Amino acid sequence: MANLSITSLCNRRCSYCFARQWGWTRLPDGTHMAEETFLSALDFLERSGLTQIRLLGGEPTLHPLIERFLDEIRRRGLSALVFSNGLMPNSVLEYLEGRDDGRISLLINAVTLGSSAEESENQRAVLKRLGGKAMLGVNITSPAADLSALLEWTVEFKLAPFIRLGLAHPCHGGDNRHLPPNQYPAVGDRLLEFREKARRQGVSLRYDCGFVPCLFSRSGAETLKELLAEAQFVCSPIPDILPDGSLIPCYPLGRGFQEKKIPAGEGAVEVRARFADRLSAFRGPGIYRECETCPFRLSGICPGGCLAASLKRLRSKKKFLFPVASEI
Amino acid sequence: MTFSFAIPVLGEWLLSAPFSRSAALVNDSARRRAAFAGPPPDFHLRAPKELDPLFLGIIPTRDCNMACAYCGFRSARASATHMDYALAEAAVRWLAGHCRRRNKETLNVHFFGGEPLCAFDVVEVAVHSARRLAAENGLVPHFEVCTNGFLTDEQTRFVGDYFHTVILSFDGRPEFQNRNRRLKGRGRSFDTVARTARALAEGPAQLCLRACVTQDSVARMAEMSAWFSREFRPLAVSWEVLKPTAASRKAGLLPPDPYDFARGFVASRRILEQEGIRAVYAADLLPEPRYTFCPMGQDALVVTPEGRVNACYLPEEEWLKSGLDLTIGRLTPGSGLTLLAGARQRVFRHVRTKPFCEACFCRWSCAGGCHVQHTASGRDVRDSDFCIQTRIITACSLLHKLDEESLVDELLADRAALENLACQPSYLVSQSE
Amino acid sequence: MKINPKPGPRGIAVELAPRIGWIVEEGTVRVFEAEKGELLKLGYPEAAVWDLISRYSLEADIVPKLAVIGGLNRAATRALLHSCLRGWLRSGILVQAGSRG
Repeated sequence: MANLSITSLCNRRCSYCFARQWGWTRLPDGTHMAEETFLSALDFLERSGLTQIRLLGGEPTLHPLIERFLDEIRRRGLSALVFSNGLMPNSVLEYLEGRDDGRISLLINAVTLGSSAEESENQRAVLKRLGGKAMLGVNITSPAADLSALLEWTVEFKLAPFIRLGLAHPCHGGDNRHLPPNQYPAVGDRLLEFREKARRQGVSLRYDCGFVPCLFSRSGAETLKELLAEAQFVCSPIPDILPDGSLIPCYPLGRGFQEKKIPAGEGAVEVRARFADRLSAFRGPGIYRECETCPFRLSGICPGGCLAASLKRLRSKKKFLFPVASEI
Repeated sequence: MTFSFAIPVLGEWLLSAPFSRSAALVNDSARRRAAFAGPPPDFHLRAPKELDPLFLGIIPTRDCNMACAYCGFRSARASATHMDYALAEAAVRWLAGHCRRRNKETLNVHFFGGEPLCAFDVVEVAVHSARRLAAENGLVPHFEVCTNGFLTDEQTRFVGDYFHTVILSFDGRPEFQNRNRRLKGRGRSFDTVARTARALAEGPAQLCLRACVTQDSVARMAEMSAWFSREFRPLAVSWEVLKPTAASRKAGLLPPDPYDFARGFVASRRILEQEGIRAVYAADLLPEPRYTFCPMGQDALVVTPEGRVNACYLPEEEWLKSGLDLTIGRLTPGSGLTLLAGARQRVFRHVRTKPFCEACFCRWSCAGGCHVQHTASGRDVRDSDFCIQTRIITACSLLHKLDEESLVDELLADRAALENLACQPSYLVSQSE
Repeated sequence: MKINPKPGPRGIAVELAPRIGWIVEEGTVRVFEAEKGELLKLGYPEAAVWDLISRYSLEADIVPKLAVIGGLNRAATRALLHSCLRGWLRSGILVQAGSRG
């Protein structure tokens, strides 16, 4: 797996946004990936043995060359998964509607849940036109998140019968809105109910990285066993390729862990291994103090949650001044 | 099926069987046919042979940096004595030994006051000693603190890093917090306490807000619930009713009407639960029946700054007023814990003897409320505000379990029905009918 | 180890090296450097030393507490404190005050 972030331009300002949070410090707002960089990134992904190209942003459908990029992906016999908020130009929507070879699918981030009626209507209109090419996803920022609309929309618009769930992680060094781990159990209670409802409607849930078994601590043993099989409790480098061709392990860890350009002759496996090696020195703690002695962690089932969330526990202090005697 | 209690609800009957954790809403004819369930089979008045506290309570000091108008701990004028470091260490050392002997997994220490963090150095010593002893004995340390939240940034960071649960007293919006919970010297506390709450909510500790409701604030409970959840995202909000003191009367603070409080609590619970936050009323229905409202009666051990070991964290003069002696022993560095003969049994019997509660359907949830302030006096408290609001809230909780939300709304809108529910002389399912 | 004292009666002052942070765990404290990752995992009593020197700058504020926490006499406590500081200075986790740059 690897992600191509093809633009920093976005038409929304989601409070939890990981992409914006790593600062786009080196990239002005609205930086688009050059075609040459895109082709180089595709070469990298092909030699990594990856056949699904995941396009992210910002909002990737705002890239002026998005259709050309998607054509190139299809020309190479690859498939594309576009992570979009669905609020895309009509020309792009028409392009997507007209492609029926099964090589392009979309993950629509249900960002308009709880926002203005107009935005919500816009997103619904797009889902209606995309139908089975799209599946829904959401990033959970609070236990109060109402997920019922995701099921309703999936059924109403005959979307792909999957819903991708993500937790809003903090960005290392940033201040985006995120879900603190002490709220995970409350989220878990909601998800257990939602999971049951989804199953009854023939919809499966997919879990993004950073979920932990103890999030479902109030489930019964049988349900937990099913969840352990359904949800891979992972936190590992993706990696993400940014519009300027640099690589980061993932958005939450974008600050501080970067490779400047796509390495010639290497694939995602080598890059991932290098990032994993660098990050391994930070893997001791987990998101909770209790991770140190947790049986799921000790047995390797759980890596201790999102590393960016673990590093949120890091304390530092400018002044840590201690006068000592002259002879110690 | 057998039931213990029958509660009148708008022309129907809510039957409750606490020990089989069941309830039913029935008509009068069915109520007459309900069989009576007797007292639980294991109910007795003999304390268990082995001491087995849920946690060790430590009062590092009775001193406080605030002068809350309603303080039942008289902390504004309390002694500034701080516990000795050696005593704090001896307390956690005793607990570690006890946990090892009883094959416990967790070393559970709770801090009370006054304001425990006024003796911050004592708390540091206790926490680090406990962590060291836990590591040596293969135990997991667990710390809880009840605090007023008027802390420095350093103290907040320490609490956030080392504590697992923080019960933060916070009366809500500035107009309530600043009026009810002033600093000594009459300064305002809201800004600092709100900052503490926000910082703790972001960290590893579980934050529970504890709000005191007055006649002025009861109508704002729902609105404050939404505000609490938006601004502070706590794990739980615990609502308590003001207990009048001379100082609170002088400050013009009055307890809320119990019917208003019950309505406010139910409204608050709906809002908070939507946000994934627990709404707590201490005497409310719990998933399991209980014999005591609080850790007293479950071998609570609370060590005072002077080394006395009590069954309750209230100041000694509070329970002496009610003719109770809740001192159960002494802890000294070097000698450990010495229990007074018969003290545990005396406390156990007091906690379980509730003559005025036996016919009340809250007997096995509220369990008599505070053993010192509510049921110790020997007075018949069945018509007290506490009992009225407890019965209404408990009945609404039973109806909530039965998915009868619209009936809850109807009930709460009908004062006469509420009074009929809350003021019965007995709720026992009749054995003769 | 003798360290050249700064002017004044109290000797040198030490402070955290740049980009050093720490995380409190259930029974330990882990010390990190921003690039290198975890440098140290401190058990007791060293974890208590670390916590106390993060807040207090006088031996008089640390030694009485540390003595009780560690179950040591005063001399042994001072020795423990200085041994920790020496070790952390040597490893570069602490640096002489003013040299952080």
